[in-house]
Amino acid sequence: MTSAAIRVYTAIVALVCTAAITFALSAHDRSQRWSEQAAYWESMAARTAHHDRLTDRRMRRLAVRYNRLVAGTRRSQARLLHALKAAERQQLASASSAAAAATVYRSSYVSAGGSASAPVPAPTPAPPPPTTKAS
Amino acid sequence: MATLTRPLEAWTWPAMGTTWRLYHGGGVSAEAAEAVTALVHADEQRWSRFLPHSELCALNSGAGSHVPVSPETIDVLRACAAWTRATDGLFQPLVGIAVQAWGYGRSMLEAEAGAAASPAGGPIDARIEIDPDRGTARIPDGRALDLGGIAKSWTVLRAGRLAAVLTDEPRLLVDGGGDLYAVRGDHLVDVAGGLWAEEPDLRIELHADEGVATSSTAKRRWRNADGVEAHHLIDPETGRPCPPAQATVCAPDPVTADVLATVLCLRPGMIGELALPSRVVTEAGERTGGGWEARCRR
Repeated sequence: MTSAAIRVYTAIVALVCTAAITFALSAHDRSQRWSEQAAYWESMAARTAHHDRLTDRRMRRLAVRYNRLVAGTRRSQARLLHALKAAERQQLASASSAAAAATVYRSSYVSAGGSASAPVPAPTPAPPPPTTKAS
Repeated sequence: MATLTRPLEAWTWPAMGTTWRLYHGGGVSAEAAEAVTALVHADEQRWSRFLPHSELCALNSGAGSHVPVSPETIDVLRACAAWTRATDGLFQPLVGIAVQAWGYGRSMLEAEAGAAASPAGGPIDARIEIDPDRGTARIPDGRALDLGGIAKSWTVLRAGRLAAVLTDEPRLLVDGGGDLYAVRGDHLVDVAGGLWAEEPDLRIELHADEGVATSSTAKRRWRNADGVEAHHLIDPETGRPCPPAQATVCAPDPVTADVLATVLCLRPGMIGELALPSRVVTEAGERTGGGWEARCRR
């Protein structure tokens, strides 16, 4: 190999080595950036999953409370209907038992010491029209 | 509306400091009317702040501790709590001490309202604690409950439901001293026209299973000894009577109508947010919303 050929060969080898080193450094940088980004997304995903779990738990609790409320309302309505039907039966059984019919509205809870009796309604053949003015 | 027939008859009785009527087309027996009257009487015994033995007075005198109350009272307190939440505290039943301090401490049937000196006011932001399982309720120390309009409209609703079971009468309307509930049938009802007595009334349609209520600063108002004008509608944000206003709301039930009419009196500008037929009158003029004009038969 002539001295000129050796110089050309050396220059080419140097260029190849420089390119390889540059590529390796750049790849390392990229890899580091990707790694940082991956860590960021991973933590973000963890936070989101945690938040989702909390929201899910809250929603479940809310659903349970709502269901209880619905069930409670249904029970209350059933009790009321039952009481109303009892009142109606009582009403039909005896015209004089009207006052007793009202007692199905838990009159046992009317505070002790209260006014002894309810006022008696008076028939009004020609009442004034209903109005909110007295409200 | 297919038929608009004004009921021709009514059963009338005094309760809650006003006149109650059960309007009907002739098909409500005396026994049924007596049963409804008894229910209203029982509710008054529970929720009046002017009856010392009432459950409400027991709650007020036991402020700060849990007081046993009836299931009916638990129900109405839960409704109060729900409305307080729904209105961001504008509907506030714990204004009892403020109402009393402003001069409305006794029934107006017994004594004139008025205070020697008007109080300074201050925000009222408190909540009722309810324990349905134990059947107790607790109001915060230093506060007093005034169920005011909601107790009446709640009773109107209960009375209407009882009447509906006791009779098949197709035209039924309960009038609890101005809180109206059309139990069955469509009705024409009057509402106060303006803030002042000389303004003519309006007539509106009220459909079956709807309620209507008017809240007004023109009623139950007085002047304190220091010359300050006062009335019963206390703004919970200031603890003072609100500026002159009158609001009427039609709603699917009388309780909603009453609560929202009160809220509109306190915040007339909120009428724009209300989808229910409603009307509010202030010194600045009249505003309507939610299809009010379509209901109106002036």
